[in-house]
Parts: sequence; C-alpha cells; structure tokens
Amino acid sequence: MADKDERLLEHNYDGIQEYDNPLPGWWTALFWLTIVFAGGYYGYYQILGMGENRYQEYENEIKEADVKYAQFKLPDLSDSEVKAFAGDKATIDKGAAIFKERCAVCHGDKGEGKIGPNLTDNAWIHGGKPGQVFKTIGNGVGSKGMPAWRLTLKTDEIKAASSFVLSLRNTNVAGKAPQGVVEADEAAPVAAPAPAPAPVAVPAPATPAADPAAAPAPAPTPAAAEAGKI
Amino acid sequence: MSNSAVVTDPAATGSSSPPGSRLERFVYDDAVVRAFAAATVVWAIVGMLVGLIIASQLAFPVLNVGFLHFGRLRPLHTNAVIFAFAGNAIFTGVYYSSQRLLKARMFSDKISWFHFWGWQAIIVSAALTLPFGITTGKEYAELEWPIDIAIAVVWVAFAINLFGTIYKRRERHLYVAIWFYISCIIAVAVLHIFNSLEVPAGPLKSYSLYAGLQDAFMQWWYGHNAVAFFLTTPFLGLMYYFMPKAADRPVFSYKLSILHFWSLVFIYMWAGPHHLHYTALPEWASTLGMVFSVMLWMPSWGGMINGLLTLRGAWNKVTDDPVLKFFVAGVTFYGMSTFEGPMLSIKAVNSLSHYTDWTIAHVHSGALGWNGFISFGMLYWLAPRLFQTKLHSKKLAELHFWLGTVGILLYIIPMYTAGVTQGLMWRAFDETGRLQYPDFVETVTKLMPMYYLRIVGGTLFFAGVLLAAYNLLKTWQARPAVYADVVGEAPALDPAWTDDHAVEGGFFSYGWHRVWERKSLLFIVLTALAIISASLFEILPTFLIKSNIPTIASVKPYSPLELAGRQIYIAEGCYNCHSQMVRPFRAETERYGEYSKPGEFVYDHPFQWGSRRIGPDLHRVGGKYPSLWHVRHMEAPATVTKDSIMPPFPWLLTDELDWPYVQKNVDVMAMLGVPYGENVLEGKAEAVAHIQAKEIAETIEKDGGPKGLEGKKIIALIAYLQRLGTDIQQKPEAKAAVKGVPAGPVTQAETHAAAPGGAL
Repeated sequence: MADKDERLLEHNYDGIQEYDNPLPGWWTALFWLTIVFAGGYYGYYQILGMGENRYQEYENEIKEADVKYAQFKLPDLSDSEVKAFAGDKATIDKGAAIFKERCAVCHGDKGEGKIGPNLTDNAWIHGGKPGQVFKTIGNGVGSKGMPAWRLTLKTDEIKAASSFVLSLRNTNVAGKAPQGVVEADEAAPVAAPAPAPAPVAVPAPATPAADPAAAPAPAPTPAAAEAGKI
Repeated sequence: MSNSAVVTDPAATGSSSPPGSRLERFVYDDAVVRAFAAATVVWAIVGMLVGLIIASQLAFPVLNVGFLHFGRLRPLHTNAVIFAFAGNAIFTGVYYSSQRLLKARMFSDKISWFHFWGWQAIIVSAALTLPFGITTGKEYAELEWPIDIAIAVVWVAFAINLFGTIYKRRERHLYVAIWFYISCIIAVAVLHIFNSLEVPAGPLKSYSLYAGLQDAFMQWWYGHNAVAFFLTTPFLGLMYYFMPKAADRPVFSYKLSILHFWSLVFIYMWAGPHHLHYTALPEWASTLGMVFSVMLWMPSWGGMINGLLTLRGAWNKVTDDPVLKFFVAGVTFYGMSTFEGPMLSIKAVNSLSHYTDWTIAHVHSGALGWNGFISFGMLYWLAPRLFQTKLHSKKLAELHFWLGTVGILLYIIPMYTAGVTQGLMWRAFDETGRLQYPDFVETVTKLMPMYYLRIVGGTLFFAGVLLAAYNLLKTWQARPAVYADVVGEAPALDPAWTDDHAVEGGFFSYGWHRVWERKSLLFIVLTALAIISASLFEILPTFLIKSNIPTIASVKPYSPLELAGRQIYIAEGCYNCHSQMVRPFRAETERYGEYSKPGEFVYDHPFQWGSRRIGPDLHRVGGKYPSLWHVRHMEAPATVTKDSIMPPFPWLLTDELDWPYVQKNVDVMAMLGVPYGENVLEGKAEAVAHIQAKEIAETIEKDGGPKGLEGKKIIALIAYLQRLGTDIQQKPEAKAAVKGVPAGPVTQAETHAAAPGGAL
C-alpha cells in the first residue's frame, strides 16, 4: 500500500486518481545530467570545435593504417621476379584453389572465360607478361569490373593466383573467343598494348621502402583503394 | 438505443460533481470501439504473418517466389504492423477511453465510422499496392500519393472527432491520457503531410519534393517521430488509462506526468538525425540528434516509472491477472527500448550498430514488447466490457502472455547477436591491414543460425496472437443478443464557472498546469507549438544553410534511362536491403570505395540511402562489375555469389521497360528542379534512352551475354547501377564534353572512361 504521507489529488477521471508525489530524486538528477552532457557535448564539438569531426577522424584512421600496414602493401614485381616463382608446382596448385574460389565465377572453371575473358588463349587485354598479369590481378581493372585483389588477397595469394593464370596460357580450352592482343609466347609481345612498365628498380617484396616505386600506387591509400574498387 | 437495456458504466461513479448541478445521461459509443478492436486482431494476424514470411525468406531464400520477394513484402509488413495493427489498437483505446475521460459520447458517430472504414480502406489499398511495386521508396511512408491524401483526410476526421469530443466534454480538466492523444494527432498530421510532399508522375507514382540530404533529413524526422508519436505517445496515453483501471490504483505522480509529457513532446522532435550518423548529413545535425536523444532517456523513463509505480500495492494482482502481466511486461520493454534508443544514438555505438540487425532487435523489443503487449493487455481488459460477458478463457490469455514473452526473447536475443556479429565482421581487419571478411556474403551466411532462431521466436509470438484471436472470438460469441447501452452520467460543465482558484500554490505545485488542462484549446495550441517549434529549429537550417551541401561540379542528373532504372530499383524495394551511403570509416572505404559526399545526392528524388545492409552498400557499385555480371546476378544471384540470399529477378530480363514512362519521369524531375536540358525534354528522352540502352545491350552481347536485352527492364536497371557513385570520378576535362548538354546520356563509354580513376 502507499505511504501514509502520500497525498491523493482530488482529480478523478473515470475513477482514476493521481498522487501528488514529487519527482523521484534520481530521475531529476539524471535528467539534469543528460541536459548538462548534451550542452557540453554540443559545445565541445560543434561550437568550440575542439573535438575531431568524422572526416578528421577518418583521415587519422587512414594515416595510422598507412604506417601500420606499410610492409604488407602489394610489391611491384618485374617479369623475372614473377617468373622466379611462377613455375613452382605447389604455388600453381595453391593458385588453382584460389582461382576456383575467386576467379572462376567470371573467368570460368578452367579459365575459358564467362563474364571475363578467356585466359587459356594467348590474347591479352592488359598484357600477358608475368609482371603484367601479377599487376592486373593485384590492382584489378576498374572499368571492366575486375576487382583489385590486393584488397582481399595477401601478396602470397596473388603470387599464387598469377602463377596459376600464367600456367593456363595456350591450354586453349574452348570458351570465349580471344580478346585483346595476341602475344607471342614467353613475354615477347607482338604488339604491346601499352608501354611496358619495365620497372628498373628491383623492389624487395615486403619492404616498405620499395613501395613508393610502384608506379600505379598499389598501396592501399584511400584514393587508390577507391579507384581499384570502382 | 432506447429500447435496449441500460446499464450504468460501473467506472463512471468516480466523477466528481458539484452538488446541485444537473446530471446528464449519455450513451457511450462502444460499437465503433468493438469494430476497431476486431480490426486490431485481424491486422495483427496479417501483419505478423507477413513478418514471419519475410523472416523466413531471409533464412530460406528459395521462399522468394517471383515478385513476392523480400524487397516488396517488407514494406507490407512494416506498414501493416505499424499502421494497421498498432493504429487500430490506438483507435480502439482512444475511442473507448476518451469518451469516459471526457464524459461524453464521441463528437460524431458518422465521423467515427468514416474514420473506421477509411482507415481499413487505406490498409487494404496498401496491401493492394506495395506487393506490386507501387511505392514511393521512403521507409514507413511507402504508400503512393492518392493513399497519402486519403490518410491525411481520415486523420483530420479523427482530429475533428476527438477535438470535438473535447469541446463538448463534461469533465473540466483534461487527464494525462488525453494530452498524449492530442500530441499524437497533431504530430502525426504534421509529420505525414510534410514528409509526403511529392509530385505525381502518374495515377500511382510520385517523386519526393525533396532530394538527397534534405529528403533523408525529412524522412528520418518523420520516421523517428512516427515511432515517437504513433508508437509511443498514444500508447503512453493508453497506459495511463488502462493500467490504473486494471490495477485499480492511483497514478504514481501527477507532477511526473506533467514533466515527462512536455519534455517528451518537445525533445522527441529533435532526435531524428540519429538515424543518419556518419552519413552525408551535416555534422551539426547529427550531433544535435545525438544529444537530444540522450536527453530523451529520462522523459521516456518518466512514463515507465509512472506506469510501474502505479502498481505499488497491487503486485499481488499481477500474479493472478494476465492483463496486468501484459501491462507490466509491456512497460518494462518500453523502459528497455527507451534506454537502448539513447544508447544507440551515441555515435560510437551507432557506428557499430547501424545497418545491422541490432536495429531490428531494438525495433522488435519495442514493437512486440511495448506496442504488442499493451495492445493485447488492453484487448483482454476490454473484451468482457465490450462484449458484455466474461472473457472466454483466462488460462489461454496467460498462455498467450508466456508464449509472447518467450517469443520476444527468442526473437531479440538472436537479432542482437546477429547485429553485433555482423557489425564486428564488417570492421574486422587482418594482420596485414586487409578486411578480414572481404566478401560481404560471409557476414551474411554467418547469421543464418540466428535467422533460423528468429523464426522460432516469431512463430511463438504469432501463435500467441492466434490464441488471442480465438479467445476473443469465443468471448464475442458469448455476447448478449442485444448489447445493453452503456450509459454515463455527469453534470454538464457550468459555463458560469469561474477560475476563482485559478493557480494554486507556487510554480512547483503545478497549479498553472491545472489551468492549461481546463483550457483545452490552449492546451492543443501549446502542444502544437512544442512540436512545430522543435521541428523548425532543425528543418530550417537544414534547408537554408548552403554549406550543408557543398556542390560537386561533376555531379550531373541521371540520364533518362538511368532514371527509369532508378524507378525499378525503388519499385523492387532494393533499398530494403542495400544502403547507398559509404560512411567515412576505413572499413567501409576499403570495402566499398570513397565515402559518400552530400553533393552527390542533389538529384536523388527520393533519396535511397537505406537503413539496413542485408546486402552490401551500393553507392560505389557503378563500374565495379561488368554489365554482364549484373545480368547474370539479377537472373540468379546465388550462381554468381555463392550463398547469396538475394532474391532472383529473372523477369527483369524478359519484361519490356515501360518506355513511354521514360519521358514522364524526366519531366517530373525537371519540374522538381533537376536541370535537364532541352535534348531530353519535349518528348526526346525516349530516343536518348534508346541510344544508351543499345550501347549497354551491345556491350553485354559482346561479352558473351544474352541477346535482345535492349528494350528490357534489366538494361535500365544496369544503366542506373553503373552510374551510381561514379560522378565524382569524372575529371573536369571529361566533364567539359558534356557541359553544354547537362542531361546528355552518360554513355557506357563515358562511364567507363570515368570510372578507372587511377587504378592502372
């Protein structure tokens, strides 16, 4: 039952009455607290501008990540560097598994081409040299819907996938008609579609120092990341 | 009426009548209350059944049968549960309690029945339009313009009916329940009218007057306050009447009623922007939304305290009375939800919870726990009174309560788990700084066990509702052959009565509020002022301050074909599962691309930012995949993305685009101020669209895709998707080419030229 000192108001609405109880102290206190917090928070961030806004927070997050993960950026590999691991059976097998999971949707189970081009002929849209294939897989081709796999796959995995794709060459599985420029075997392009990158510097993979040398900026900076996505 | 028996409402005895005044007798209109009660039960079954179906579609995508897929059915579920079930429950309670609290029959029987049938017709028209893709594409405001007008008319009728009853009342003061009803009527009218301003583009199609950021702002001002003034304040009003009645106890604190009512009404209106944290909404608005949401905590809890403490001395009754059990649990869920709401509005929490099932859990603890339980508690209390017999089975009502409670828990706990899980997966990076779960679908398949459990919870709750329907039906069957008139007695208000003790005591004894309570017009005006002034403080700056939306020169209007594709996107309800808003977090820019800027949406009538990511964000999807990919993906998503739960849209490949409509869309957009040039106006849009369609179809064919897609819907949709989010990639030079032709179709070639950025 109610306390003795509770006062019933004379209000009576369809039999409903009301007590004249004061506001609970903790309720009033917490209400004031939230009001003070609201004023303080709004003042700190919006009026005084002392706190970081969301875009500043974002820039900081990106800067921190750039430093923290610098060593894991995709290296820029020369043809010979790619060739050095591309023939390895274990690497190709690993690449086959990745291909099945990631690439087959667009390029077909055997690389015969579906949404993307046939990879089993000797015609190449973005260059068939080992370094070019590695780079195309890593950075993707935004305009064609080829994802930049460096955002998803680790460098080792991209190496493996490149090895597998290079191993498909001239297996000539029946599928999509050849697209791009026919290149002679073994990295002697009949007609280079673009100036060969021919990187002079030999970047040691997994060293941050080598990264700035990468011409198309494969580093996951925001700009490149977006470009790769789109 | 006069032929039937007369009973005096036993509850009417409390009315304080000054000695010597003339007692008036009047008959309460319970017939319309019975009708609303029956509609409440019917729509509860329909709305929740659709809810169960769409929950099952997420768990078992094979259940997306043809056009009856999740995207089209989800709005039917939300509209049916909010406006049909909760709406009819509100009207049941308001019509029953207002007559008794005001000591007067409703103002007009004709308006009462117009209100009843009008509202049911609106709901039926919703059911006949939403599944067919007739929608405005704004959440909880999907109904098209003729229905919008009907809603406004019926709502005004409701207002006239209640305010008229207030005018002819025999109770000098307005009780707190009536205050809450008044706030509901005014706020919903204002929200509905201003959010639904739209320009018709046909008998069943319209486009929002607002675009992009401003449309988003209005939509969530509306959306949030629909929760506030449709699902909260009227239900608080119901609580203030039915809870003390059922418990037979006085309300805990009159002062608390006053303070929490006014603070709730004023503060709620500001809080909408918390639905748009980290979007392109300006930061000041977002921060205001957050701090006002935090301030809402205690005003909301004021209602909970007044409800729960009213039960002091009556807790023994709760064990024995299913009605009180529903009320206690309902108010407790209200307290949980209104603590959770302010918490979710805190930006840091929201950055995790937003777009996840956490929101779904939050909503359902409120909707099932608070709205559902208050409604059913009320129905069980009303049934014997309305049908003038005993409740068929108290035991079944008890069973309903327990089924419902366990059902809610089995619904919300898996959804909380799913929300936090998915939120954390989206932002997880591995040790090399790459997304731990780069494939969005991984973060969906992970939730499947939770989705199965949710179906169990939902089924239990639904079973409870069926029990209620059975129990109430049986009670109705036991009604007397002729209902006895329920007669009220009260003295008429004495017009000569003077405010001789106008304000008693000091400020803190609230005598001044007592004065407001007897001046009903003043009370209504003050409530309207609180609601409107709070709204204007935010709305005006959002529309007037130019710096809110820095313009981006390269952002151009959609081409006619893209616009037609956008309409398909809206009609299929894509926004129910896909957002178009990349937030400025590294986890999002790595996954989707550059974060979204306010200037990118200036031609988006309506905005399509979305509120839940059952699928990935699409703002930067333009150019991400080849057009052929989209063809295959729309035809059968799971063949392209393994384990995808997206419904298939094969008819888009076979259905002809509504070509004559292409021009109409462009014309309406031009009317709305989108700067379309002469080359697409005056009937030229269709030809322009055909050129772009041909290019896309040829690209698809060249890539080895199906032939003959040129005139089909899929091409328009692909045109739209390929355009999304690409404008900011346009180089100023590239722009110059299209400069003289602001509305020129962005051709496939241009899109591609624009898209690569600097990738290779």
